[in-house]
Amino acid sequence: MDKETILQVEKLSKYYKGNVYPAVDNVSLAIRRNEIFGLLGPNGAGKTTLISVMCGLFKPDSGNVLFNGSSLHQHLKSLKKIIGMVPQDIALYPTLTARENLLFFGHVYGLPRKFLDNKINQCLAILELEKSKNKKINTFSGGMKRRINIAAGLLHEPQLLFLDEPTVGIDVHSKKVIINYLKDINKNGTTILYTSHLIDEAEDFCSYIAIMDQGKIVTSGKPADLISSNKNTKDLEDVFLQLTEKSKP
Amino acid sequence: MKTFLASIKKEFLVLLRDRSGLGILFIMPLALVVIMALVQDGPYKNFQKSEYPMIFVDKDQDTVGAVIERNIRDAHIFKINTEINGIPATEKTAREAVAQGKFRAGVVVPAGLSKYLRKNARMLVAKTFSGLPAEKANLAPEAPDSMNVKYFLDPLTTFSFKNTIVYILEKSLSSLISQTLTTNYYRHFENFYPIENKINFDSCRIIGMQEISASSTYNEHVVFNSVQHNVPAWTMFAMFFIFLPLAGSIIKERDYGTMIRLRFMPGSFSTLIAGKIFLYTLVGCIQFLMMLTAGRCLLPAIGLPALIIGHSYAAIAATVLAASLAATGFGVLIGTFFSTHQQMVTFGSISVIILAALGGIFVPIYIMSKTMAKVSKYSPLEWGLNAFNEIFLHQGTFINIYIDALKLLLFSMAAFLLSFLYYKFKRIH
Repeated sequence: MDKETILQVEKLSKYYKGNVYPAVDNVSLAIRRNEIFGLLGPNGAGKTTLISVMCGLFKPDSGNVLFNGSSLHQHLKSLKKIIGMVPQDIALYPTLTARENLLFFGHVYGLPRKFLDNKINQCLAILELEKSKNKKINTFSGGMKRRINIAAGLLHEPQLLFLDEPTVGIDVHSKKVIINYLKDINKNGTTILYTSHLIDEAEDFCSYIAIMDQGKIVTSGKPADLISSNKNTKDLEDVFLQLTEKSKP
Repeated sequence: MKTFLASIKKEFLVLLRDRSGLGILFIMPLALVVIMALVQDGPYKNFQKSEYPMIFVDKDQDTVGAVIERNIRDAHIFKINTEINGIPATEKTAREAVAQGKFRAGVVVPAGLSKYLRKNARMLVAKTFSGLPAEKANLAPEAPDSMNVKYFLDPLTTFSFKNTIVYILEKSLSSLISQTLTTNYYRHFENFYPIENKINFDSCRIIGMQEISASSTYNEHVVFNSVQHNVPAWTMFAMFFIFLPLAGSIIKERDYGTMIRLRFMPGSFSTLIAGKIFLYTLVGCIQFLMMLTAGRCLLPAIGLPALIIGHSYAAIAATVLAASLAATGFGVLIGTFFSTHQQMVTFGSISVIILAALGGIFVPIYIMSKTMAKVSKYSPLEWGLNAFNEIFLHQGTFINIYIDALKLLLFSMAAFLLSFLYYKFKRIH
């Protein structure tokens, strides 16, 4: 594992109880520092399971996940402080205000009050939610909720951020705000691993892409390289369709 | 510590904005205790100082009838009636009225009973000094049926009720017989030498009895009434209904995905759960204080007796804390085991109602059958209620309740442990 690699996955498999076929099947990949790594695939491809194992929520049945060269699952407690995770669900308390939610999650991260206040104000300003900070989450639109959902995973300025479908089901404006914010934090040194089934968005956003189907990585590389290396494809969507259709039994 | 405090604050805000949860925790128990105490006030009063309607037919119109009537009145249990629909009662109409349930009991004093008593007392004294052997003198003649005081009872009356009437009649007759005999003996002896100090043997107490407080420490007389039963009973019930908002919050956290986020965060997950447990345990204690205030202030204001809470505040605090922890443990267990809100509400509510029924919340355990009374010993609500009764009614201290408090604590520990193991098992697989 070279110094540029922040996270390495080695022959990782994960089975769900009662299922014969693995949800993740012998996957190996490497994420380089400061990269925006896109993990793409159709629904049920195994993206969420893979990301859950990679960030330590589930233990793998076989294989290993290395973070900066050491086993992630063995050092999970200390690594949680430098890893961020934004789940696919709106993992917020609907009856608390945006600010109360962020304060709570910030306290759980153990952040000092002054730093936390500044960070919350900064996040809310960038995500264009300053005016709504004292409104309850259950009064927010889907896009506003997504933005707070992301902010809650970024309060502690993680080195590596896992994002599971962060822009699913939201309006164009919210999507633009989120993507711009993520690009900004990436510029400031946060490596991003992002899953999506929105190919256009990924093509624009990611510096490296892996396409996953039926628990396996079917291809990976820079978006431009993926398009050029596959025949009869003019964009990433063609590559995606060609490869995911091929892998169907 | 920061995580723990943050968790408490978050839980507090979530609960504060959950109107239905607050209603279940504070308004429902208050309404229950007021309604149940009012509803049961009548039956409890009947049990203690009721005025059962009685029809009294005094055909004697002399000493015996008067003494019996006075003793019945002095018992403060019966409301004596001598007429039925404005017409003086006869033995026949009195029996019919009791059979119809208009009166709980009837007493008939036959005509001429006082004269018969006096005549027989005179004869008995004369026979005593006749010089004849006892068997020939017929010193214990049996009264004919026509000279018996008769009583009849509503078939719905209990055995203890019958005993009360029998006791009053026996006491009246014994006292009359001894008084009449004494008077006649005095008269007989006065024929031979003067008696200066005549003793009224009826009021003479050579030996006697006295009611003292069962408690060796305090002499406060605590009457078991609807307030003494309902306040601690419904407090226990309300405490266990903590499960609804608590388990609901656990299930919501799973549904919203916040639990997954929290599991991924650096703060210890058990510390976060501890914050939840702390807050809801505190809520249980606040519920108790609210119910206590209701028992001391609200219920007397609406004409019910005030709750007597005993003197051992340490024992009260220990019981409240243990009961609150047990209720919180139950809530955490339900919230962990059930995956949907509907399952949780259905199972949890039915469980609490069953535990409450077994625990003597609805009806006191002493009127349950022997089998049910044995089963009730396994209900945590019974442990709590029993401890409160020990403190409130028996003036108990920590020594009297520590076993029940310990049972409640063990119950809560077992619930937390089971929840933890189940959560761990689910998480691994």
